[in-house]
Amino acid sequence: MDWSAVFGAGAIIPWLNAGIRLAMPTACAAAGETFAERAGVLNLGLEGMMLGGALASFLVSLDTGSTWIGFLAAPVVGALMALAMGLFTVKLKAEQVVTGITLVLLASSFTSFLYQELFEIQAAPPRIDRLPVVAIPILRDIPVVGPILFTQNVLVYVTVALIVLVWFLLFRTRFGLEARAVGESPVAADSNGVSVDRVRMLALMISGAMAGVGGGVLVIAQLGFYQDQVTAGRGWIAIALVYFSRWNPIWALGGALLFGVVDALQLRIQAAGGGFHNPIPFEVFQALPYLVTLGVLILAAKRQRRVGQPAALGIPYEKEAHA
Amino acid sequence: MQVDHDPDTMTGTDHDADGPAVEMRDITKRFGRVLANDAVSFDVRSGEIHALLGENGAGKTTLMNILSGFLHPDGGSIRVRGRDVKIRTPIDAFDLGIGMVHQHSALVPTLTVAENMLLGDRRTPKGFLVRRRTLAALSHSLAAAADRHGLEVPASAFVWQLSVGERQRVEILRALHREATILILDEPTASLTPPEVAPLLEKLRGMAAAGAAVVLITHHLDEVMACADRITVLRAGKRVATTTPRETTTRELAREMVGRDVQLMAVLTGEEETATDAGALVQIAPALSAVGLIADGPRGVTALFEASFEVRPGEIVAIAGVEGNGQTELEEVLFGLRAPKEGRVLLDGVDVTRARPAALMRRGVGYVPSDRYRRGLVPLMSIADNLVLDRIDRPPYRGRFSIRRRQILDTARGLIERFGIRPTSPRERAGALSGGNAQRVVLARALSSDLRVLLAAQPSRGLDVGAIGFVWDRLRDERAAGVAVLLISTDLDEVFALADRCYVMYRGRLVGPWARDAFDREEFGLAMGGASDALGGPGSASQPGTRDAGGS
Amino acid sequence: MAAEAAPIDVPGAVGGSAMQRARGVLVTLIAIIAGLVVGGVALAAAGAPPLAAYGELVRGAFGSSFGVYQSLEQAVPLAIIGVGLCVPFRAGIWNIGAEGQFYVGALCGGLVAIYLPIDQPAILIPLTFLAAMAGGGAWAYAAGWLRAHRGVNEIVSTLMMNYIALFILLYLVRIPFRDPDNLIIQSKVVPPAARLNDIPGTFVHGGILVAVFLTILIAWLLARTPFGFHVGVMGLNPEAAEAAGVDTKRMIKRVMAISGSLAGLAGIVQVEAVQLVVNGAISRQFGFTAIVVALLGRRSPVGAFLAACFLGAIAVGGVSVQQVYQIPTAILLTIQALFVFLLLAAERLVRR
Repeated sequence: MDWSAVFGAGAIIPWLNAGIRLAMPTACAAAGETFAERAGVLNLGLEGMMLGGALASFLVSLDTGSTWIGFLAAPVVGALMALAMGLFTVKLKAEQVVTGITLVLLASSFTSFLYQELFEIQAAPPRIDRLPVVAIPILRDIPVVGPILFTQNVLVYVTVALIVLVWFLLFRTRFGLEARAVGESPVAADSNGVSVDRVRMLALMISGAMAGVGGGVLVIAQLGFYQDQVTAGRGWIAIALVYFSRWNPIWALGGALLFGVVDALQLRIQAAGGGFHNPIPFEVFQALPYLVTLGVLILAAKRQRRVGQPAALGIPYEKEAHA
Repeated sequence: MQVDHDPDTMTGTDHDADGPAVEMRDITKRFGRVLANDAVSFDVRSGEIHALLGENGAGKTTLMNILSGFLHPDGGSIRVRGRDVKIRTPIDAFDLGIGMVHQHSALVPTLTVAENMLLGDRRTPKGFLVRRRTLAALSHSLAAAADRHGLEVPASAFVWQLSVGERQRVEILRALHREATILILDEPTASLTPPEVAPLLEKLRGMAAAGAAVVLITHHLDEVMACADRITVLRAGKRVATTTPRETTTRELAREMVGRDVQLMAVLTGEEETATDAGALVQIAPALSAVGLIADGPRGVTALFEASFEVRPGEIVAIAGVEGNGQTELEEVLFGLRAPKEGRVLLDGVDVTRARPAALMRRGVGYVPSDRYRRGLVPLMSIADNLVLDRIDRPPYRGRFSIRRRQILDTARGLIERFGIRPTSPRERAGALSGGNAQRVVLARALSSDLRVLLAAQPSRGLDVGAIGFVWDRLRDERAAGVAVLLISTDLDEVFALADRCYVMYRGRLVGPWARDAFDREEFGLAMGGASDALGGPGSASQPGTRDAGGS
Repeated sequence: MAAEAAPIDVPGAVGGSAMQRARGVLVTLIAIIAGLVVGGVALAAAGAPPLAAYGELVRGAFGSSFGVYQSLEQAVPLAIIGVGLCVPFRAGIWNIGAEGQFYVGALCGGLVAIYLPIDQPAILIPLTFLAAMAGGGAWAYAAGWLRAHRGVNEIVSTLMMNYIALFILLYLVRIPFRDPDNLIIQSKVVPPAARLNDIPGTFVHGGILVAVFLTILIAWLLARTPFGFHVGVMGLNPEAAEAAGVDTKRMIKRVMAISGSLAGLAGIVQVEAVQLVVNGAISRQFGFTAIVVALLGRRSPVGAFLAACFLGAIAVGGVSVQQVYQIPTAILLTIQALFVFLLLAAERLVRR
């Protein structure tokens, strides 16, 4: 096992660079979920929306020949799925947990069905153009940091911008203020003329769109192809990240970066031959992201004791009689 | 973007200068089976304070929620300044100059005061940027407005940091900030300390004098007599009387509020007999004592600070105080639902600080929780199920392995009868019960075992007078049976009616106890506001209470 | 995470009126009909004429005694897991980790079956069951402990543990417990003494009896015992449960352990009755489909059992449909999930 291929001087920069790229899908979904949860909606359908966005961007890219158009399809599909979920949870006041989980099951099997319908079981799925890596002039020449941060696939920059946009929307606009009010105290918001249902619906759609984008980034920027269940639980990791990041999109990005780096590490270790003829079995590395997520979850729960969680999270809002 | 405006301009454009500012005609509103408002007509004129009087459940808040756009009426019409209007959302109401100050705060705790002001403020565009500048400018204009009206409001504080009185001031300020000319206040004095009441009523008079139309929802007769220009009484959803203070008396008003039942009236006017032989209780060992309890509340703030007290068998000890001073944490600590950081709880001398509710119940501790729908009942389950909630795993309700349904139903029927619960079918869902009946279920469950100690937290909150009388009678019965009763209450009337001794709670600290013959509303009032000498701290010098000593 | 008001109909020992029970049935009926309609549309879209496809489905599932047996066999793992899931779901605890608990159970039970030198099935099989239940139960208990004592969201923790369990299993059958005589990566074959054979006179294995037994047991547990009553109270209003003396922390751990042990049992049953080896392919998303089963059955064990049979029938009939009309089986999974959505909608609409 060639450890220097993983930890040697020349390997660190590509590793971290990859880490950022790998982090983006999860970061995107987590940022969107933060917005939804701040408004009091627990969107457990995230994994399904990521899958939907992934498949949609893949299919549209293939169909139109343009990866950019394919990328644009991702948030649209994600938002539509969120709209469907919103009809159940916001309009009909169904339980958010059940609806979310069912949506994931539905999306999981439907994307499977669609993919098999369209491509049959092939050895190698068709590939799509991955969009260029853009090295930002000047910034890319900064030693160390340059090659890591500023030499990324163009979609990475796009998603970072989107995440910052979500943060901005949440904390610097009146709409975000209303969203936060709705998640903490829907009664108070309602008394002030804020339409709780509408805000929640929009927040849900934002998280759906961001999840879709995450799926699109995964397929386009990271892999270049689609396979069944390509998201492999990233949506769920994103949900864990939201708790860990105390419902702040920027911290969620940070958490996702941590994960991305770990993920990149385990891939490199496997590629360097670690695991096969080595005391540490490669399954350990494959399990690493999930183990780390679990660990993070435990630490976060211990730290916060549910302080900071939006008070009305997960509770459908129904106007009650105030007699 | 506009930020500066003059809240002093309170008279709007009156199309009909002589007519009422608001006219509600034949308003009807149903909630399921309950007819909350039955063809109620009500009007307010500019420059007057019109009190809307009625006991809990009479329909006052519903009526005003309709006016403020929070609810839609099933029938009837509303005219504002002579024009027919449809008020579909609170925003429509704001546009018409109607501002409501709610009983239960309509402020979001985790946002700052300034941010709360922005909610629903149509003058700032939605998408738009709440830059620091905006908030700062808003805070500035708020501070200016606050000054002008003599309302102290810390604009950049988070709402959760504010006391209840401060929050109320914020809400009043918000209504004024939105240029409300029609001001509705729902039980504004409910969460105030007695010394704070008179200044508030003064302010309302000032606002009315400046041209506002003020609706004051309350069930306190003395307030009504003191400051209202007109009084309308609602009973069971109907309007039963409209009069002026000059033309009536508190007794008459009480009669209108509850019908002819003399006993009920006495509860309201405070003429209840409070016979007690507390003097006979000399030095018996306390059944329940708390020693130096320190506990945290939400957000890690200390809620209980070295609270100590004793309750002896056969007496009712009250802990009075305005809501939000640690009462909830205290009741939770006493019943094993919250672990204190320090201190002890002793039951007949035995340390039960860490004991869980099940163990406490086995030792004879009964609990009537302050939040009856969250802690006391399971609304989706039947009355029968709720009545045996705490004892279903004990015979006779269980056989070797399984539950005995017939036993449960039998017991339930018995309790329903004994405690006068309506509707009488044990299979009805508990959530369908009115407040009074729900509390009867909770009481039935708590009082139907052999008790040593009873923790009654806000037992008559939100109840109609009949139910209040019932609750008070049951508590007295327990006292007579030798149970040590701890009464946590925000209602001084209740304390005066029931307690043998009384402590006052302020910010987690206890002051007192006062013996019954030393009960004094003014002293209590000062202690509730933190200004008591007994606290020894730099209390704010509140104005002396001006509540009428008699008849209240 | 905040507990939600779980709309379980007829909760409690002294349940609601006949009216309320009738409403519950009505809801399910509406959902089924709507589901059939939507499913028909989906089938048509996939190129299969709906009525004919449904006909083929029914024929495949019930047309022959073989079909019926197959449907039941398909239903077994779903039923066992689904019945187990009713317990935490009713308590408002979302155990999404049945898949992982299935794997752990299969692993523990399988290893006992393979390596314990006992010949009599009457002794060996129960031992394997116990091992499987202990394994699955412990795996779930861990998540329950985290939730009860550390406030860790059980949805994400159990999900993560699914993946972790799978990787543990894959490693163990690749190296320490691998069958040396086989090219495929899997454990040794389960010895005959540990196999669940077909019930004499039928073509369905003994697992169906296990499923039926458990359905009755859990149904009784939930409806007739104080434990079941407390589970219901917790799901509806945990704070009232606490104030009424229920030890909610202990309850959380217990309900997780119960459902985990049943998932583990499903795992060993599947291994001993169908797969006969332990490898990465022993589950076809049973853990997740069982969630659908429990929800379709409205969190009641009998309902879950029936839903499992329903899904089993679809799986079997679906194979015929696939062969005849050339559409992928995944569409049937899609229809299943759609059913749950429709059930949710029906529930909320009837309530209004």
